Amino acid sequence: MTALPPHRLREPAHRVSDKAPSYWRLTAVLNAAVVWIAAVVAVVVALFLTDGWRALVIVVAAVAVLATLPWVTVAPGIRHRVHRWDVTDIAVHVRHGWLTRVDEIVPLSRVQTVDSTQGPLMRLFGLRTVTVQTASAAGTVAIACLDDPVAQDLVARLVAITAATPEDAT
Amino acid sequence: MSEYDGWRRLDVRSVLTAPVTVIRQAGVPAIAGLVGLASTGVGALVLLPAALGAAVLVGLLPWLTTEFRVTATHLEVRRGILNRSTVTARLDRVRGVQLEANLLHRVLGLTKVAVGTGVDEGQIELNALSVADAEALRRALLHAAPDATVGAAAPEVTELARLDWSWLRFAPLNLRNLLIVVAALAALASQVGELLPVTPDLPALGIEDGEIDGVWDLVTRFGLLALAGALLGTLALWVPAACLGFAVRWGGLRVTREPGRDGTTLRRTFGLLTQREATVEEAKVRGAVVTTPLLVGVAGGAELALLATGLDDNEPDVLPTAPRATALVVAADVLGERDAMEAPLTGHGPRPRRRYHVRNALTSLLLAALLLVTAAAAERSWDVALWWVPAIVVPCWLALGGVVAELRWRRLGHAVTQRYLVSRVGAFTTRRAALEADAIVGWRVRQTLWDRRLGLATLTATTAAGPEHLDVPDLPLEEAVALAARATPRTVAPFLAPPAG
Repeated sequence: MTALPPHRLREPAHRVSDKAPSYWRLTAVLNAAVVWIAAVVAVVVALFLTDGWRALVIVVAAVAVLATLPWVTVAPGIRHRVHRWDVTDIAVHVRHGWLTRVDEIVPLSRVQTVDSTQGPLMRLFGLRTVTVQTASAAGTVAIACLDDPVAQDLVARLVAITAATPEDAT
Repeated sequence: MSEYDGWRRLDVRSVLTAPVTVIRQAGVPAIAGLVGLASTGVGALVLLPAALGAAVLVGLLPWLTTEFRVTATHLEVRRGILNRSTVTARLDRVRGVQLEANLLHRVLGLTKVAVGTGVDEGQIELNALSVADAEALRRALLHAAPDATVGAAAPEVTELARLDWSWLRFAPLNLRNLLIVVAALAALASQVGELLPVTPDLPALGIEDGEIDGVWDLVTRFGLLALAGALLGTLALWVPAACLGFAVRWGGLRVTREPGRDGTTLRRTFGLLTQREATVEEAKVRGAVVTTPLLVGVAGGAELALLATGLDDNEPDVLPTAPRATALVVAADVLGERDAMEAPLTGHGPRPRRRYHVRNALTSLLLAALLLVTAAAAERSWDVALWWVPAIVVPCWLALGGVVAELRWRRLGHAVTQRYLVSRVGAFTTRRAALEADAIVGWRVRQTLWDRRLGLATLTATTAAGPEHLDVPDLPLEEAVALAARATPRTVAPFLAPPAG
């Protein structure tokens, strides 16, 4: 078989909510806080230790704290630039990730359920995640952090389209 | 209507099999408990029959409490005394029927029936029916309305494959099973080793006292000999064991196609002692996998499995290790086209090759650094010269890793045939999978940070069949997108960028 002519996926039309980066930053801070507190405790304890160990503990704590910083600082912005979605009458296209980039396409005729979820923090920001499930355990696609009204409209639209395409979902 | 109209019980003879199973499962702890009790003075003579009686009673329960019937539209099974439960399965949802008869079943003329309904909670099991009843039930479930089978001629059957005893030659070459045997032997050896006296009888081996300085010396002295002996011994045990295992498991294998309720079904019967039989609706088969382990491949063999939906095991194997030609013929027959398993594949270009070799070089470097540090530490702390270890290990690792990298790259390949998306992966064991484009329920194009630097991506087709996804790894990004667009144009085309330039 000859090689196929190369193709590219175009950038999906819609961005996620402008409030998403703040939400991502807050969750990152909450997750990182655990590490930070542990690091502070470790350093305080280390101050009472003998020399060799003290330096080691401080270095490890510093590395651990530094390792959390990208998620708090640059990641939310990059994600917001990358995360995009698009829906046609035939399929959903979602792009996400910041280090690892993922493009996902699901034909709506194969969608089994459309869910939307909103955690307590998301409610604070007025965000909602729409999840589309297919018959494949590996094939669940999420459009994360849409503005609540946008998400509700999207769910209604997806449900309408999937209901209108009564193909066997497997 | 037919004999299946009313509620029926399991075969009476199943009462005999159940206690045996119960005793086998509960027997050892029960006996251990009894021995414990007996040694404390309580009469085991009373307890043993009581325990046996209880086992028989427990064995009786399924027969007393299980009833089933096949109506024109449903299979219904009622179970339980206190918690009575009724399982109802629509006949048109029945996706496969499996029969299994172990030696005891066969002596009694029984067989166990398991009905797959496509529900993930598993199967409806009836343990056990008489062979004739099981066959009638199987036909009623899969082939036609029950009344139509009564008196009707046996359905038309085509044979796709049948075991040839010359396939035995592949059995010792399948090293996956060897690993299991070696692990078992090693476990056994460690048990035996603990029982042996700790110090070997040195004078008996012709060695003066004090000549052997510790375990290390013993190992270097006898290590090679022991290794050679172990290898020869394993081989001498392995070849007959593998052949015997193969013969017992696959003896009498027959793969046939029969007309079913909706379309055709594939039926496979096998087993020399325990006879197993599985029937699958062909409509649920969405692809196939041909696996070629290295040695088996060299000897011209291959294995064939299906990618199916709604079964207990969604990747059921069809043939054990068989001649490649046979596997390909059966695959072509089931898939409906030869290209899926036989057409040449498109390689993934030079970039993955570079990646695999660079990765190998880096891991070798890391290994070298680790070993050198260890050797240096050993020299400083215990004054032992271990420099020869990295000098031998690292070049070997590098060479072997190079072979693996090269093989892995050469095996990489993909294609879109008339109906299938095909992907081949593997280094020593090659796996060529063909998934029906129509069974693809989604796409994922994934690029890690490293992928992006090289312009590579992993394309994943998600599906309900088989392991739920088919991966085409380390493919140039534009080709990944093109492949998805070629396999399912209707889904992907709206999201393609206009061609550049």
